[in-house]
Amino acid sequence: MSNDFIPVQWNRQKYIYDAILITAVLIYMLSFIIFGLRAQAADVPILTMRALGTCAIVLLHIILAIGPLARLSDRFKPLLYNRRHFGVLTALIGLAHGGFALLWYHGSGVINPIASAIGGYGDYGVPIEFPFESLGVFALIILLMMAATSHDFWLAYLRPPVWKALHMGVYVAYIALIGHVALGTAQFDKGAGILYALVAGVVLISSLHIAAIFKGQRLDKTAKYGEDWINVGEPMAIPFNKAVTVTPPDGERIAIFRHAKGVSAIVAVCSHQNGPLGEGCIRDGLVTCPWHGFQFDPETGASPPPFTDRVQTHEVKIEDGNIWVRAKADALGTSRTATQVQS
Amino acid sequence: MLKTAEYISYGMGLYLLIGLIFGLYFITRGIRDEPISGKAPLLRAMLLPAAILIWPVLIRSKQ
Repeated sequence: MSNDFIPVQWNRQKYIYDAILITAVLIYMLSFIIFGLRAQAADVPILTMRALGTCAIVLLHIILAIGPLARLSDRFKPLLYNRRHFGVLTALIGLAHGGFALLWYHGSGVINPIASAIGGYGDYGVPIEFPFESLGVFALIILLMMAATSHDFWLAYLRPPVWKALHMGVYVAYIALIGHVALGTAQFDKGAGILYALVAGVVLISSLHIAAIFKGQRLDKTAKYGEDWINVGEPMAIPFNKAVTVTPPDGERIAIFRHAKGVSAIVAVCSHQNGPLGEGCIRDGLVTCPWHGFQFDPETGASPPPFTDRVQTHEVKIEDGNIWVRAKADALGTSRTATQVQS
Repeated sequence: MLKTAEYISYGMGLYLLIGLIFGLYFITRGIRDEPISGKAPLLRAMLLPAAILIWPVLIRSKQ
């Protein structure tokens, strides 16, 4: 968390994360080129271009897998941290691949390279002649847009809903890249290995997302609704310093935490990057987002000073041994003393 | 098809040129009220690519 924006908030974990990431990319690139040369698949420039392209698409698969994996198991949550550096690196590798391909295949003609790549010599109506580069250019523009706006400054400046909508473009970029490979290099692969790998990747990413959605629905407390109160169940059913989440008929999901002071409820959407606060825990008395560690007081919804982030609170009461939470969120800035639990 | 592709590429070039002009204005004058540490030239330079790419969004957001 920061109060003023600075270029990059480096810390030891980020250095380690980035070092591992860059080392893995370099090992992949070198292995790809060395094995390619040994198999006499192509010469160094072509292999470098392919290594960059395959590396970018592998990284994109990993990025898309991290979110659902972290929802399925806590062991993957550390991967969420610093995921934006992962994304920026992917965009840069994609840019290197695109730039290389543009110069290599389209840079020596009489028409300008961009025009040549996006359809100068192809036919959009014929699959085998489809100018697949146009899909790559389209995906690259989205990835670069996301990388360029990944800094927290843009999140604050554009506001979370706009920023989030912009960054959901990763799925559009992914579909475009699948098309780019399927209509491009996969068509000329005699063994169909690329196509199989591509299908396996799509199945994996889709399955993980579906599994994460099902798990999220299973974890959501089955709530009973009164007029505007939701029955969350017995307090002791909530693990200590953890939360259950309920979804009101209207509005954002609600995270109900049981902690040292009692039971408190806040909106389950982190004000930083819309992270799932209900999947976080209480640390040092503060609700801690599992994505980037942003913290909020469970009674006030406010981040500890000097930070100014806030989430809305919800009114909580205990009747007949059950927790009831008001479906309508309080006005931003409203404080709610934790409701005592009789043990 | 070739003519259309050329027009699209010129359009992209024009978009980026407008973005560059707008972006330079944005990082030097447009964000004077934002909580940025000191003069932070590196941060401002880091913000330039996004300003170039999403300038229509930035113009709309401040209208």
